[in-house]
Amino acid sequence: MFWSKRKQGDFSAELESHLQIETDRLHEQGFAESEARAAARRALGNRTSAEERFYESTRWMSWDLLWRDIRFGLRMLARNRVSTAAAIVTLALGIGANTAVFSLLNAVLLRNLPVQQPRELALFGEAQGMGSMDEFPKASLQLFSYPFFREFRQKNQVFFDVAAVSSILFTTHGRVAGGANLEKIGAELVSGSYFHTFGVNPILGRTLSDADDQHPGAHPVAVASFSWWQRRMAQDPAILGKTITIGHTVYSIIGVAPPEFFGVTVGQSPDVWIPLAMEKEISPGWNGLEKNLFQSLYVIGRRKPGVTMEQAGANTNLLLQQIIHEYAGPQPSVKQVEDMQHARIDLTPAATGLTHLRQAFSAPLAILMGVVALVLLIACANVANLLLARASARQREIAVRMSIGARRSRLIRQLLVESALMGLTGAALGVLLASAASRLLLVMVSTGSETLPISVAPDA
Amino acid sequence: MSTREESERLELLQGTLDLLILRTLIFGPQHGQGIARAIEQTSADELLVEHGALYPARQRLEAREWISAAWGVSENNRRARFYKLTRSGRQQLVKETTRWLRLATAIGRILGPEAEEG
Repeated sequence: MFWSKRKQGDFSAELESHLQIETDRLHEQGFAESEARAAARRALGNRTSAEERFYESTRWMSWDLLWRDIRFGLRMLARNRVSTAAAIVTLALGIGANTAVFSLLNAVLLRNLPVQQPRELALFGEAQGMGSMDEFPKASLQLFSYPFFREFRQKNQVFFDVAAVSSILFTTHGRVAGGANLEKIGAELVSGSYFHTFGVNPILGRTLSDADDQHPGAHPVAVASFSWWQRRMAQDPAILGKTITIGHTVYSIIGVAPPEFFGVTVGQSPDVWIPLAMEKEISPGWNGLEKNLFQSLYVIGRRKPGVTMEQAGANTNLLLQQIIHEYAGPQPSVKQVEDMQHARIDLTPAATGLTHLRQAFSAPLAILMGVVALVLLIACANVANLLLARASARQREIAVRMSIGARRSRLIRQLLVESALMGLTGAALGVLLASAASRLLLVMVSTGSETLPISVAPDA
Repeated sequence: MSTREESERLELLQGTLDLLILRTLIFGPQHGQGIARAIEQTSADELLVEHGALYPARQRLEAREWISAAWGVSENNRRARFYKLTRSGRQQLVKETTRWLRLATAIGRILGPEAEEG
């Protein structure tokens, strides 16, 4: 029985009543009151040990002892305020620094995109290069033209769907809901298949579909990001149908993306997503929707279930050769023939998304991680030293406790509980510290005036 | 307390205390001291029962729900905790009694009449 409903007091009362009745009986037999009482006690045996046995039988002793150890541990820690505080602060700093750096590292290098089945995603090339280029393909391709994307998407057999994203985020200015002020708006041009490919569902309205990306200039619609909706619109549910005027075009907002979805580029978070068909309207200089060699897009595909990266790669390159042969025409030049032999697409896993931060920061972040790991090691060594010093100061106490019958295991347990209390407190403080520190780190690595939009909150 | 010297009395065999407690309760509810007295008296003061040892035994029986307990008032007006046999306690008593008698008979047969003479 771990949880008896019977109270200790009830048991003691029973023992007392037993003594009373026995005393009464002996008294009646002619013993003097005090003698009778003593005899009754003798017959009962060791009352304290009976009560102790009852106490132990009514509860889960290990919990009871643990609770006592914890209370005692807290008292001991409170008594040595200085060394306790030193140990806890040391631990908190070590743990905090590690957590902060790892949070950033995790966000930039490791964390998967908040989309369905991120492992199925494959990036065409390595997203090296930004902007546009019009050279005939002659090496590992990084940027792709809109006609290439359309044709590839239509003809391929290995991808569930393929999405294209403009390699640069257009920062333009527009009027929101017919307002008078020009506001800064980060617009990401994406293909109509974008949301479908990533499996991202809107929390309000609808997302872009294929039908929104058919004819150049004919689809003035926009999907708002959650953070923009929150920041600019105060989460107004009546956002649907509101307009954003950029240049001469009036875009109507058709939906809001879920909070966790920031696009596919870590460290870049667009305010709105607009169909690629509107490229020229967003940025008049960019007018390559019908140019085979106006290569400015990143392409990401979602492999069909069961299709391996190798199979997808083989099919992709086959299709690439077919398409660029068309581009070269029936009589390709000698140079084009040679170029085509070198043109290829290297598929890379895109589960963690694309980011330019990764190239810039992966080495520094790894080094920083190593450094803070060392710091933690040093912190641990310091704490160990403190504990050691304390242990030698406590030799007397321990000797006394052993001499009055404390078992070795109890003493070890007591010390472990004290250390655990200290460690847990340090860790809790460290995590608090980390959330502040990671924000600071983010400000430090952000080059511009604005903080990089990266979520560094610890994962659930 | 009994009138006999304690050293002459028999110590209980292991495992028999539960049986004796159950048996004592067959005549109706009884409190702790009463149970101890009853065991001593009915054995004609042959058995030595440490009163304190009865408590863990009764707790054990209570946990198995062979006996139940409630506070009441004793014959000389003292508050006392009274124990009562439950239905399953009664069944257990029958089972244990049969088992004990078989064991006693078997041991008696082996020891034989010679032992009695000696």
